[in-house]
Amino acid sequence: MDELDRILGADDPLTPGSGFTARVMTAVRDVAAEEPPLPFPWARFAVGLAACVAAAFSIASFLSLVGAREALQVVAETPGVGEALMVAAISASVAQVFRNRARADF
Amino acid sequence: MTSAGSTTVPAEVETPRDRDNHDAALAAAGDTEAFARLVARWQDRMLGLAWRFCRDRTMAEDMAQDAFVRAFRALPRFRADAAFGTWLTAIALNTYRTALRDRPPVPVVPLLASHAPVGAAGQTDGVAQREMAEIVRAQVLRLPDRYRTAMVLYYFQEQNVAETARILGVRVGTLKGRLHRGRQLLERRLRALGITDP
Repeated sequence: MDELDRILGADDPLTPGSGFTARVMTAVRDVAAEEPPLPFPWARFAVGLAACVAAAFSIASFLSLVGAREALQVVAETPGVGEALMVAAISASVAQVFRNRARADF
Repeated sequence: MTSAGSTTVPAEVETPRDRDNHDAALAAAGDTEAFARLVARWQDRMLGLAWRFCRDRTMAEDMAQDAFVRAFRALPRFRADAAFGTWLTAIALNTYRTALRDRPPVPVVPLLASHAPVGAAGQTDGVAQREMAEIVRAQVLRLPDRYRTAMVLYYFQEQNVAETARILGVRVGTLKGRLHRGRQLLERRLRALGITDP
């Protein structure tokens, strides 16, 4: 099948049409003029990650010291905790309602 | 973003590869005139490869343009120890494959030697040969992607196995296997079309 090699190897060249280079360079200059993408905020990410780890470590230490059941009991008996949880739940629900409404409007 | 003084090529930049790498470094720093020189040097190759994949002039130009834009975006990641042509061809190849993924295959033109213009016998033979060559090329484009890409690039690179494998990012043995199986499949399909000896 040497003929197959010849056919596939030989192909009519395609010369660029007039204005091809100019079109490419216009597109390239548009790209060059774009704002560079925002870099990922690694510093804030690291601070947030460290805070999460510290919080998880604190909770784990607290639970291991007093036991899970006792810890729940302490939290439940602390004055104001129930009200705080209720306010947080209501706030989250209201925020979700507004978010859904904003999406629907958009 | 261009620097007017950057068009002067230093004396030590002599080979085409050096020129490409020098311009690539300038373009990576935002010099669009340096990139224009790269486009001027490589547009025939990129367009030729696009043409072999789609056989449609308008689409080939669109795909080649897209490949150059992607290359410009990716220039900061280009390592000067690699050949610019290899790197650019790899980007173009990915661009073309993505562009052609959902496109219907090139239609196979029936062999119509009888419709050739009336003329000398040699002229008629020439027309029939051209039609047959187009059928063979269209059948290559109908092969599964891994065989099609390997075969198109292999012949585009003038049957240079090592360079083709480098661009595809596969081992030479893997490429040879794909070429062999692709060719077997192509021959089977050509036989089914009544072409036993192209």
